[in-house]
Amino acid sequence: MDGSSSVARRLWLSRRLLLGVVVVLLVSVLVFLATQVLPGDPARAVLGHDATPERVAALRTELGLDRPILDQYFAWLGGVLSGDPGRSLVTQEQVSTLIGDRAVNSAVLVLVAAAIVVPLSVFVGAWAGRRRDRPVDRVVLVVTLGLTALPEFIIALLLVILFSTSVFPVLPGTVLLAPGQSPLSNAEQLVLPVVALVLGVLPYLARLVRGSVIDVYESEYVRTARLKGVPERVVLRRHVLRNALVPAIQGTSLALAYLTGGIVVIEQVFNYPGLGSALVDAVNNRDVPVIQLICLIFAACYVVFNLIGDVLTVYVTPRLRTAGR
Amino acid sequence: MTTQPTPGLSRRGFLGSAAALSLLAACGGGPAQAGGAPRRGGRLTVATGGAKGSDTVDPMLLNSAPVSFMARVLYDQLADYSNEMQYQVRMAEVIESNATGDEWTIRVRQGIEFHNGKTLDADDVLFTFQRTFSLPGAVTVGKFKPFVDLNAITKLDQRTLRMKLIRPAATFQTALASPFKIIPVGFDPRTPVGTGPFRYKSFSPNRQWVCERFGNYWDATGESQPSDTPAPADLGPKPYLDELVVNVINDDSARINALVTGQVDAINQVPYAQIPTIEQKPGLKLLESKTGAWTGIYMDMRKPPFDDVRVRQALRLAIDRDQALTACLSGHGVVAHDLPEPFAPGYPAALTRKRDVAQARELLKQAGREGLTVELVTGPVSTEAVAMCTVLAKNAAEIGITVNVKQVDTATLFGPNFHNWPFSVDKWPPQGSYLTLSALTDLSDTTTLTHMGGQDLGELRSLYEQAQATVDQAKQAELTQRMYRIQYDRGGWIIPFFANVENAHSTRTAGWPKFDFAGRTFGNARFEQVYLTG
Repeated sequence: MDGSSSVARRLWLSRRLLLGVVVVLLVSVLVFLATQVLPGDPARAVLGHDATPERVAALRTELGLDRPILDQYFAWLGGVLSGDPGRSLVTQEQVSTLIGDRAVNSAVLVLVAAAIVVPLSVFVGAWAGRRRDRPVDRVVLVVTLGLTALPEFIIALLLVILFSTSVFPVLPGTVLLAPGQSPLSNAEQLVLPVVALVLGVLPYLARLVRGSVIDVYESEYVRTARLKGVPERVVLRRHVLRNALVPAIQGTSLALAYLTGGIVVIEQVFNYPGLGSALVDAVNNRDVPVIQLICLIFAACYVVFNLIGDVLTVYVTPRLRTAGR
Repeated sequence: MTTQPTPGLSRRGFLGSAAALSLLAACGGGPAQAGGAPRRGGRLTVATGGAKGSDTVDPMLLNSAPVSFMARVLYDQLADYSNEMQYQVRMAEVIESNATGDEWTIRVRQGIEFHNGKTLDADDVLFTFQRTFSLPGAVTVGKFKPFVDLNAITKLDQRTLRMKLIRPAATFQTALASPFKIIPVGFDPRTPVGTGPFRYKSFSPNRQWVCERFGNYWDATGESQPSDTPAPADLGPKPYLDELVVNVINDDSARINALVTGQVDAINQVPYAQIPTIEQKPGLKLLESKTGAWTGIYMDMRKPPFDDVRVRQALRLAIDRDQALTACLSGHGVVAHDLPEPFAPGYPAALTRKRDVAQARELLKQAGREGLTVELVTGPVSTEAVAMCTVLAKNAAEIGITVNVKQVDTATLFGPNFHNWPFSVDKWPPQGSYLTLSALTDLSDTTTLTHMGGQDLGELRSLYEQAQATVDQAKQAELTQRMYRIQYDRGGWIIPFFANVENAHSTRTAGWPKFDFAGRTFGNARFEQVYLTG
């Protein structure tokens, strides 16, 4: 590899990073505008029933809601950039402490689910692809199609009924975590949420891998390798899997991004104390700084996962790796 | 009681001792526990719904169901209502007024200790009043503002205050019995200190409360609220539990799952449709009580078309109360007749209203409002609020009124338009006195939302003031009844029912109060009389 291509790649990478930052910033503007469009404000959401005009006015002043919108946005942005995302309008707590352990909880859930679903999908996909049109493949297709048709929250509810409350009462159906307690300290509670997420992503990813494995099997270079007398195992390992990896990487990055968003629903069903449930509550309370930061984290995750997917794709695709030479 | 069934008993032996037990219970009125022998100590873990990110442990900011019942756990009051809505003095030894009701003397009991060891005295009561008036968002301020002049409170001695009120308030003691939690001088909500049966250990909004037994609880040997499984006398002073953990599980199904799988010992806010599920599960018990809590649909009586009493009465006659009770609460409630506070003195139980489509149509015709279309703004102020509006819309269609139900979220409902929705919903807990409630709603100083128009308002206000100026209970009740009558004939509230409060608990726990007329859930949060068994 010569110097000019590595410079080009570095340029490409920094451009992607920059674009990523711009995307995240745009998201923050959009989210901020969206929160302004929502009727009601934190002062009213907090006071609820007792929202008399004078008390709303007093609380608004106290919370700084009477300042111009642009002022509020830039004050928040400046804070985030200098590492201080501000205080919750509702609890007056630091936003970072408010969502700190929730962010960790959500990350644990996503990462554990990803660590299971990615290898599993590659395995199931490759297996089915290799046995195309045979009974195994048919079964995989039908099952994954069935799972795709079920919304995640239905899967979650079915799991709870099956393994927690009614049929086999063996696993807890609700996650109870004390603030600051690691979700891994009570792994039993994690089983059902993780399985629900895995079953939500597996069909998509496995079918993707299956499709690309089939494509590669039909390619000329595989036929050539077989004609050369290369053993089938080596064909699978050297030629098929390696080339089928590209769509799998793209799929995985999308799946991870999807998982990050998808946890909102799963967290709600299992009462899992993560970012998703915090976001739902923050929206109900019109707690703008909390909404903003969580959306920012979600947006950043999307950007980062996509970026990693693209970078890995470039690295495993010789044609792309050498482009720009 | 020593003849509890022990684990490992044979069936015959169990039946034998169960028979002996029921015989004993019949003779002595002793409790018969299903879960084993009552024991002292241990940790009770419960799960609550209705929590919000804005929840606090500040007893003056009661803005959600768990905040309001947890305030009863950590703090106490000068006076209070029992679980059957009977007025009682609590930490006060004396709360009495002069003959005109405009000068009140409050003396606190001797030797009541706060969680930090400080003894309760008159300064703490004064401080509580001052903080109520200065803290933005304090909920009780509305009940005191029209009467209390902070500069007219004199300290007579270490335990006694004398308050000269701005105007007569013969029901001032009922305002003290509403959630007016006494806090010590210099109270800091970050390290909350009260006189309640449990002491603060930790709190994380929308996640968890942890409290521990307060050994010097002032009312440790006081009478408990009626229960089907009262604690035996040898369980010692209250509270019986060592620790109370309240987890937030806002999702209804997740909360029930947590109880069914044994992750928690009790839950509140059981959805009405799920009651059969609870009743079928062995080892679980439903804790249900009727309440005086109500969700009402109000009509702005100062704006057309609701400024015409005939339109209001037509809608009140249109709603099918029995149908509403079945559809919204699966029958778990009591039919109401548009009048609140069923447990308050003076409540006219004789004033009832039945569905009458013909009369409703006639009234509408007289008003010239046939074919009327109105928008009803509703939101999740209570579990039944939205369903209730749907029932009204359906019933109103039969008298020729088109009611378009518009559903919004709570922040929107109480949003900038809150005081402009002409037709909307609101929810109130029982206040124990119709006069107290009126001052907050139909005679409120801060909003004219549910004020009557024209002469009615003046008449209502005059009756209210007369009632506040007399300490003669009979006279007061008679004046209250006249106010009720005006509301019944010309008011703007549609109150179809009083919903029951539904909790469920494992039979490993007992001692739960059977009544909770205030509807605060968990038997009015009297966790001090709950104990574990087995």
